[in-house]
Amino acid sequence: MAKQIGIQAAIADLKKHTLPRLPGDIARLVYLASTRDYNTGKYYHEGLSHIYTQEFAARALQECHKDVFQSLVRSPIEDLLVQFELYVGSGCAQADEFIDFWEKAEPYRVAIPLASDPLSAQLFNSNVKIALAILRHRENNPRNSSPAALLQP
Amino acid sequence: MRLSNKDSSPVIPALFSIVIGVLLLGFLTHWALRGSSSVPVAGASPAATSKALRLELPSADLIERLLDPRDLAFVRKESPAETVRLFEQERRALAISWLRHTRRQVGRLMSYHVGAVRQNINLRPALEIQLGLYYVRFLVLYELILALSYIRGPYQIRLMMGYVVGVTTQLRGVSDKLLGAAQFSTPASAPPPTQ
Repeated sequence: MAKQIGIQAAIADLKKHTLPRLPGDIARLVYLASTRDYNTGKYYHEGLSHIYTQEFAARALQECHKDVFQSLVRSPIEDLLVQFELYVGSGCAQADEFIDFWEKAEPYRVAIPLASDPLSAQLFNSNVKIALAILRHRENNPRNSSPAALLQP
Repeated sequence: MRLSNKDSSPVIPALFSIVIGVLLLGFLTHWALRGSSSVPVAGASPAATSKALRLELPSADLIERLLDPRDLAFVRKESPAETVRLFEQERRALAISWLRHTRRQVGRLMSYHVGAVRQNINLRPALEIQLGLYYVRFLVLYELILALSYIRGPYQIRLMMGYVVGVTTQLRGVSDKLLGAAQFSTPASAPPPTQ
């Protein structure tokens, strides 16, 4: 019982303080995936572990990672595209560099939570591939850009 | 020394019968071996039985999301023809992948029942017949959808995918009932005695 309360508190903390600062669900997914160790698959967050325990922090990160991923998988491609435009617009990279790298290296594949079912993972990969193709098309034909893209700096 | 047509006529049907016989024997042997190797044994631990019987299916709303026509409309509106083609190919591949996954799961369930009947577990005939009927309905739908997805594209099979979800849910319901019956018929899984 105390364990559940601890995990829930850590999740609430993450959702209140850390995740809202990130621009959209793609940024949140990338951030949460980056807290996962590439070798062991375990999640680490120093600040959160300091307040709660390492175990609670890891579970909270894992749960939030799963939630953000599920939200993206269940988004229509149109909404996914808005998330990508927010992410690119936040200044993480130049749009063409970002599209090039994401199309070639496919880093989104390692951003998928471990416990995801295969169909969700396949659907996510497929939707990202299509969203990137549309982004590329918009990049080459600026008149097709959505209002969300035009608002970005 | 050439054989006339009249001489060779009884040889050909005999050879044909032998070939058919050998093929039939091979098929039966393959079927019998496959059935006995992939089936979990009766009297195995309840956890193993449960794992063997439960259909692990992706949720129905994920299938709806996969074949949501809004995505197709958006992609058609926003992208060139090659992206639309890529999108349709991806959707078809995903729909087929889901169908095959479901087929494998249902196949495992039926294998369990074949094995269980062979080992004389106390099964309920009415539920067995119900399961058999759902299985036949599932197989017909599966083959039909598979063919249609190649011929008419993934978005034409959307409604039928809903039927598959319905039938597999019914299959799961029957299998859960049978699982209860199978578990309570084995001493290892009987409920603990009350004090």
